[in-house]
Amino acid sequence: MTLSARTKMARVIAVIGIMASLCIGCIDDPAPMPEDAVKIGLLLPFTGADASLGRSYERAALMARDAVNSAGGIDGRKLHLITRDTNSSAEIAISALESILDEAPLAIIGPEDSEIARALLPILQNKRIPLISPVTSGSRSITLVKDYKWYRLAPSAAIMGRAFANYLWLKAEISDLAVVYTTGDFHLDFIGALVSRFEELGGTRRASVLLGDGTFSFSDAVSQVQMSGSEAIVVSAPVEVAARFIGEASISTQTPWSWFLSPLLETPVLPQNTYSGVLDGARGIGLSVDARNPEFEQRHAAKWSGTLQIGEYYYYDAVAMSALAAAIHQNVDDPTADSFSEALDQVALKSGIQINWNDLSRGIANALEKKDIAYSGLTGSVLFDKHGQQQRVVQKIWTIQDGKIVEDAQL
Amino acid sequence: MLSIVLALFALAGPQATAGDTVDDDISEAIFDASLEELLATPMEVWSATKTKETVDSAPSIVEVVTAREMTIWGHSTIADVLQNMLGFYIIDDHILPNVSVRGVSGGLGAQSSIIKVLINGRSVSFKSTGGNWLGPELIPVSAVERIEVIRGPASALYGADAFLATVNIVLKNPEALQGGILRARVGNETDVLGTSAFSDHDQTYDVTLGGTRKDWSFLLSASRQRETRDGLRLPTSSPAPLIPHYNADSDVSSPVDHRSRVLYTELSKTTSRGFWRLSGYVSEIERSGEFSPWTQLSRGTDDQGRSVGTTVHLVHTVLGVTTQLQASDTLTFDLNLSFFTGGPGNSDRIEVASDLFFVEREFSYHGFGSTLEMTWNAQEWISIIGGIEFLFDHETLPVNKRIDKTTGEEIGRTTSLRESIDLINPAAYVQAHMKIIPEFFTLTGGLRYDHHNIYGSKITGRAGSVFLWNDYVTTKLLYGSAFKAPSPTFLYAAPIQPGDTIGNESLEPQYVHTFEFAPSFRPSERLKLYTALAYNIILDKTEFVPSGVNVEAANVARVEGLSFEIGAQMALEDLISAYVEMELQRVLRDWGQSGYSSQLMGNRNVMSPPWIVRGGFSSALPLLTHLPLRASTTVMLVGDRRASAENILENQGPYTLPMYVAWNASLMMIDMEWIDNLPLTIALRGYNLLDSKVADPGFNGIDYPRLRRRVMVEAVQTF
Repeated sequence: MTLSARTKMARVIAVIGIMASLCIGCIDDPAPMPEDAVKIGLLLPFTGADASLGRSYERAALMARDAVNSAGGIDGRKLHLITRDTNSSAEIAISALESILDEAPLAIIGPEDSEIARALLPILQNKRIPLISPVTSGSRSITLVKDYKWYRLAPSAAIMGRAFANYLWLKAEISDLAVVYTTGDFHLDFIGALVSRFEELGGTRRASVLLGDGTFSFSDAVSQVQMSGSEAIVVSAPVEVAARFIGEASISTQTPWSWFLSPLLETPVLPQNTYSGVLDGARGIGLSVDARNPEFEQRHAAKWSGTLQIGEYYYYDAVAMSALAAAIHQNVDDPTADSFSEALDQVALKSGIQINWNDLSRGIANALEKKDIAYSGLTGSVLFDKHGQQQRVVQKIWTIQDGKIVEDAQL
Repeated sequence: MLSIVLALFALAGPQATAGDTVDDDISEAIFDASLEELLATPMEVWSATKTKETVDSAPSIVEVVTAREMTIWGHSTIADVLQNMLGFYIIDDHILPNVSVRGVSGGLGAQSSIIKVLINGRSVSFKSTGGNWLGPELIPVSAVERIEVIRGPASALYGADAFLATVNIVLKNPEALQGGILRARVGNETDVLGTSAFSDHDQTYDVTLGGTRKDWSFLLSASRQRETRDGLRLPTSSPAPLIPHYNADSDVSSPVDHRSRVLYTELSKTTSRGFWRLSGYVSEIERSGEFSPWTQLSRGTDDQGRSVGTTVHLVHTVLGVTTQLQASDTLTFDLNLSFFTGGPGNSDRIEVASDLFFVEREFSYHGFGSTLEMTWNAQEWISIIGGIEFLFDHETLPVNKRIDKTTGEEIGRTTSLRESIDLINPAAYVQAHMKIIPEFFTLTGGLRYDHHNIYGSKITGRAGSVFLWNDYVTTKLLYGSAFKAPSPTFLYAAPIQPGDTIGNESLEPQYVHTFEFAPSFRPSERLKLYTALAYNIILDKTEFVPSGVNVEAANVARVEGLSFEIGAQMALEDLISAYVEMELQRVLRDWGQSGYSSQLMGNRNVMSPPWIVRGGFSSALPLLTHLPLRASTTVMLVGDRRASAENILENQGPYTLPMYVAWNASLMMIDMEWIDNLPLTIALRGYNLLDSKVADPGFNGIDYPRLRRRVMVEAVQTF
């Protein structure tokens, strides 16, 4: 082979190398957020004890966002969700919130737990940024400052605890029970209200067992429940913790226990992660919507795999209402720190143009004209009290049959 | 030189099938060839087209590693070979090595299922996971003659799972062996001063026996390895480990053995018009699951004084029958039958961090595969291969039994959505290989149709053109497509504990299209330059992705990858051999969904390094003229590896594991004839000599520590 031929070939290889290097860098990253986007913060638990909830809730939020954007956005501006992970903990949620606040959102949707909400509210109240909590509700330990509204679409843990106690005593005819729970405002409030109401009605609490944080085995807790002699066990804990406890408890007794479960355990993830048949017949209390919406369920199934969870209805409504409020807020002549909160009030009026969940395009058009709106969402019509609490309360009892969650009855 | 060329060309023979017999002269030719002669002579391969081709003329990017090269460079497993080969990167999860190809990893529990591994042309995958075991449990090293590795898809010939690469291990020819090889290897991890860090030693023993008598030949090979993997530190980068409370204060793995056992045997008879062969294969792994996906560092004594810990114990068996009939000078028929079975062994137990129980897995598979293939050398310029295949796999799906830690009795179980499933896959394929302009331009085209009872029909194809411009320059332009069927684990996995993996019955097969351009250049007999540019597009890429508290198998849409590989090899007689290679991988993922997780993970690649540089140098040391002393060293620089998607989520942000340097070296005496005609090889080998304490990306909230410095002594006696 001549020297020139070798040189030529070496050049070919070198050129290929250079071209390849250039091509390797030519696949683009995704487009960034538009500068004029309407920004809403979304705090969800993608990791930690409540990780099972984050992805589900986000699906509905994204559907609402896409519904808004595919209808042309808000006067041409895209709705952008700035999503962060709470890690199911207040400490991480605070830094996640601060990261969202750097982007100057109009409102924050979330978090999943009232203990986390308690940690976030001082920051948000200080900045006058509304917090819209789709499934989290008030806690006795939370005090709001004057004129600040914390928007809550779901009933409080205490209300649900009392309602469940009524169900246990009156309908399920349970006369004594053991309660098993973890720390966290929701669980403490739920169990506290449940036990208090249950005892008021004449029932007996035989054991009260707190499951330790960061524990993977609960043999001591199982022993305590066993010793209580009660056959009815009420559990309020994050899904993974509950699944571990129930898994261990179910092997430790000859008589099958009757399981009663908190609203946060209404997820297919629970039976999926519990040993076969153990939870069949278990009952729980949950949030309810006026009626299952087949159109929404179809759209959901077309876009996502996995079971639609009730909480998703609430998250859809939270994002939809935020978009409507953003449309009103856009044309406020002299915006103040509270004008977005006022706009939120203006989309949840008793009287006004009724806008359904699947009619956001018309809703935004009317909102841009500052018309009063009565949003009637997937969870029904929304009407807030003076503190931002949804006044309509609809709850239901669900049960587990053949490893699947099915609705039993509305309360 | 000419004799070497002739011998190498004759390696596969006119009626060769994978691992078909090679005669004495050929083996000796390879054996006697100097490193320079081996470099100058394009080695023959079978795997690329199922006909004899040289590595230069084969319509694939194919590399061959001989047993001698494995000895020189210190490779003791197929995983070692691949780790040192362009386009591959191995992550050891301390249960099995898991390979990435051109920047694409199979993900959690993939067990190298993105490649197809064959022993003498027969698949030995563990069907339930589709996994390929690449460690010492795959095949005794003493039985290996050479390893043919094809980068790129090869489903058109090999069906499902020949997805991103195909590895065919060709075993020693009994006729050439006529005796045996005994190999022993002992060693240990060492601390800075070189003293043993642990109380026990790694030990590998393997033996291969082979011979012929009249028309009969036999090969028997067995290996047993025991390796200590204690003292490995859980990487601090691990975002969410799950350590049982009785070991909560520990971050170091406990002293336990990793055991691997494998047995391979075959009996052949040549006939006037072909041959037939019976083969048997049993492979077994027993691993402590100190870095298992369920719990980590679980080995020890719990609060009640019970001995606890995860052990992964799996066994599988393949029995084969092969027969070849030379119907005429131009027509050959091959019939291959395989019977396979596998499942967990007696010691399998999974710790789930419960004080009350552990989990015993119960699942199994058995079935058979058959291939009838016709090779028709219709004309001198064209050969056609056509075949039909049938695969039947009965999978008994996992039942996870809870076993009381105190009584040892079963106290409940979880079952999969189904008890069992039959997987049935008939297929037909055809390939034409045409020498359009002899000695200059060849064209190869192939098409394959598979019909699976679960996910329907799939068509794959390949096309390749090879230009042999002159004696020095070759270019290849290649296209191939392949599909990877979802394994039963991906389809039906039931959580062993809360948070574990969940199967997905609606999974689609993954599908890859690959375009490759590969020029090579031999400016002299002492130097070879080669490069390849490959573009992969993978559709419906399947991985376990976070789903609530669990991880669920999902088709995560689309992965695109551009791979640039370049290298040079040189050899000077038998004195010096050296190579330097570099690869750049640019892989982007479209997760197919919007939202926080995909935003957090971004579209950048995970798991595999974006670049690797490898180099090796080996030289004879003429210090003592009567001893064949040789030294070799290899260095591998590996770029940052981005954490797995799951761990990025757990970490609430992307993170990378830092680049590292792996330096290995060997000092050896090869084929020292201390007794006449009984060559002995003795080697002192050091791995990770810099003792780089680095980690590789892992799953389920942990990263995996790489092995520490190890020093091994190896002796190979041929008799």
